Amino acid sequence: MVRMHSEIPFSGLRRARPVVFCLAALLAPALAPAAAQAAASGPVTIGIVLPNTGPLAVVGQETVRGFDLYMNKIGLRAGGREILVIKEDEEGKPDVGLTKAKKLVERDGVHLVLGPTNSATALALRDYIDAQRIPLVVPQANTRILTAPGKASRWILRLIETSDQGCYPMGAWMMKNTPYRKVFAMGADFAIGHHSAEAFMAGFKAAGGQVVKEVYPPLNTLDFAPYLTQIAATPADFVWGWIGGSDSPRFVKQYQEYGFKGKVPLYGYNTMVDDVALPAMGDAALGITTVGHYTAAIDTPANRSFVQEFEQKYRNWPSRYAEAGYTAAQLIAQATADLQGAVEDRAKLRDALLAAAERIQAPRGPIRFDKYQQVITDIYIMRVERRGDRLVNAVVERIPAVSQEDTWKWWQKP
Amino acid sequence: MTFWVVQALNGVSFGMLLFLLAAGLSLIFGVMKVLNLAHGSFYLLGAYLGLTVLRLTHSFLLALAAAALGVAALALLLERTVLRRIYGEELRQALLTFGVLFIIADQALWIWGGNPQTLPKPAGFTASVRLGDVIFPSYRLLVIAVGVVMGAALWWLQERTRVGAVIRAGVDDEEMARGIGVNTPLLFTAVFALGAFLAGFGGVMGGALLGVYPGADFEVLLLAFVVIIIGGLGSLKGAFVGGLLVGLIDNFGKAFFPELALFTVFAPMAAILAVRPTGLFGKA
Repeated sequence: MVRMHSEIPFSGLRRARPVVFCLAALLAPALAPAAAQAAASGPVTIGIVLPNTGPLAVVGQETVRGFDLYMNKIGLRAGGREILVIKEDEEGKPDVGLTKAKKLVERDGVHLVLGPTNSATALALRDYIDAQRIPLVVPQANTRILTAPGKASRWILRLIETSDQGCYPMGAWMMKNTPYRKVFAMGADFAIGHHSAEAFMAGFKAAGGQVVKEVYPPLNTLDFAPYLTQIAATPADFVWGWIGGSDSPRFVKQYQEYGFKGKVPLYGYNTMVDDVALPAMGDAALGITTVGHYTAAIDTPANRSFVQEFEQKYRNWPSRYAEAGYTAAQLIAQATADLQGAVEDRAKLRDALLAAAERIQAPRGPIRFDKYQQVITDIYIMRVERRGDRLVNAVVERIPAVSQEDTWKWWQKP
Repeated sequence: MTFWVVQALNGVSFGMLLFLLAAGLSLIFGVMKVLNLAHGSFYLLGAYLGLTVLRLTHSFLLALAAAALGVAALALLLERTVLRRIYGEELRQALLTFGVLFIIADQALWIWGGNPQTLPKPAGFTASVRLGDVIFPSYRLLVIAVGVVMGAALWWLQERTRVGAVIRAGVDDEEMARGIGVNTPLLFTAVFALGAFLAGFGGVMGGALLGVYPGADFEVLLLAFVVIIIGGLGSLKGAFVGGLLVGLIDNFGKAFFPELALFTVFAPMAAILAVRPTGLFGKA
């Protein structure tokens, strides 16, 4: 017996269900603009694209720790609005970084982006960020190309010194403050290693020094012996190297094991003995002198309190990466406060970020941005020392307000 | 002169480490025909376990034992529960072990963090020795000694014991071995566990030399494959000679042609594949 249509309960509704569902799905986006307008009083959204996995994971995680420390300190509020942080993993890969950045900008509707760590990712993001006209605060990627004339974007602000900014002045510093005149230069065999070594050699030669040999071991070299044993065959009186990541502990230990420590002094860029890698290196690292924008041993009230807060929360001293994250958070919070929370206008937000640099007290010291949105920052020469039961990068000298423009005369024709 | 001595010793010590890694992999492939891509994870886990045990007990021997046995136990579990369901299906086995590689890598990152670390060397081997003009780390000499002793022990196991005869039979012809009454499932489990033991052992030895960090598993796996391709699959002698060869060529290659540094490890592999695809001592 056929059941009549009217006898089936709710039959009308049931048959209409798919239609109603489709209509709802179609209408929902139409309602979204209304929701977005309501968001002007919603949270200030910051998108983070930093590595959480892969070889640069520890750098990304340190940066996020510094960032979170400051954000939690101000209660995740600035300019009268809440702050919402959305974190994405760039995995140290340019294509992944770009995908995640697109997701943050287009799907999550962030007001600005913080990141990345990998220089290749930064270069991959450059055109997209520029086209989207959204501010990008770069805490680590230190390729000199990103903020050079012709490549710099009005929307990209960088908080860390370029490979040149630190290494070039160290050349002159070596000539003035040490008796060493002949360098055996080393750099990991990729862009940053090469550029950093070149910058040091250019600064050193410009001040009258001599380069005896250059050697570029590949990244992730397990055994530096073939490279180190070449030192003895040259008249070099010191070694300068850019070594970073997991190579650093190996390089420093092997330098001692093959008998060079104490015979040929080792200098380099701070990634060789940064505060992340240093604790595991032990006495092999003592006496290594490097250059960089930050060490936890900087003796100013602002830094001492930062170090204390960081140590209380994470039981370690902060590294240069944590400081970059913290400074980025300070900058963003200050800019938001200056705008009284009106961060929707991206150009105004960018300008507020640039202006905020001179109003914050970054742990490293005073900073400001040059006309390519690259930071002008103090550079520190530091030496590894033991203080109590801890190894620190003790400050040897502070070179104030170094700008990328001072250091690029040898490769950039303006 | 110093240069040659240091480079040669270095090449040999690196080669011995490679042997420890490759021996397990070669054995597993020879007997079980399983391409154990999780071998890198066994190395990584061995190194990390060794690090934790060293931190707690300050005994290198204990760390070696704990790491090697711990990893072997994990491998046993893996083989019993998962791997044995898909015997004969080489592709699925390879994919499975590849998956295990990723899982373990992530867990290790979660448990031990992302900072690169080095295992402290055993007491007594932290200094460098002077051999005339040459300054050489004493730990590397220890690695050479351990590699030789391990090699000898494995050779003795394989050639002079019944267990070794069974393993050799398994490598030569698994079906025949089964036919004459060898308990192949048990053999497979034992071989897999032995291979993992060697990898874990190598992890602790290597961890003190090269450090342990996320990504070490992939790097080490790659090197182990190069060695067994050169030395021949399933051959212990091949793993030994292959390891030595790769260690020496890599060292001297980097010293003389630093621009070709990435190439020096793979050039001999490419040459062998072209000239003698089964490797120097391989059995088809």
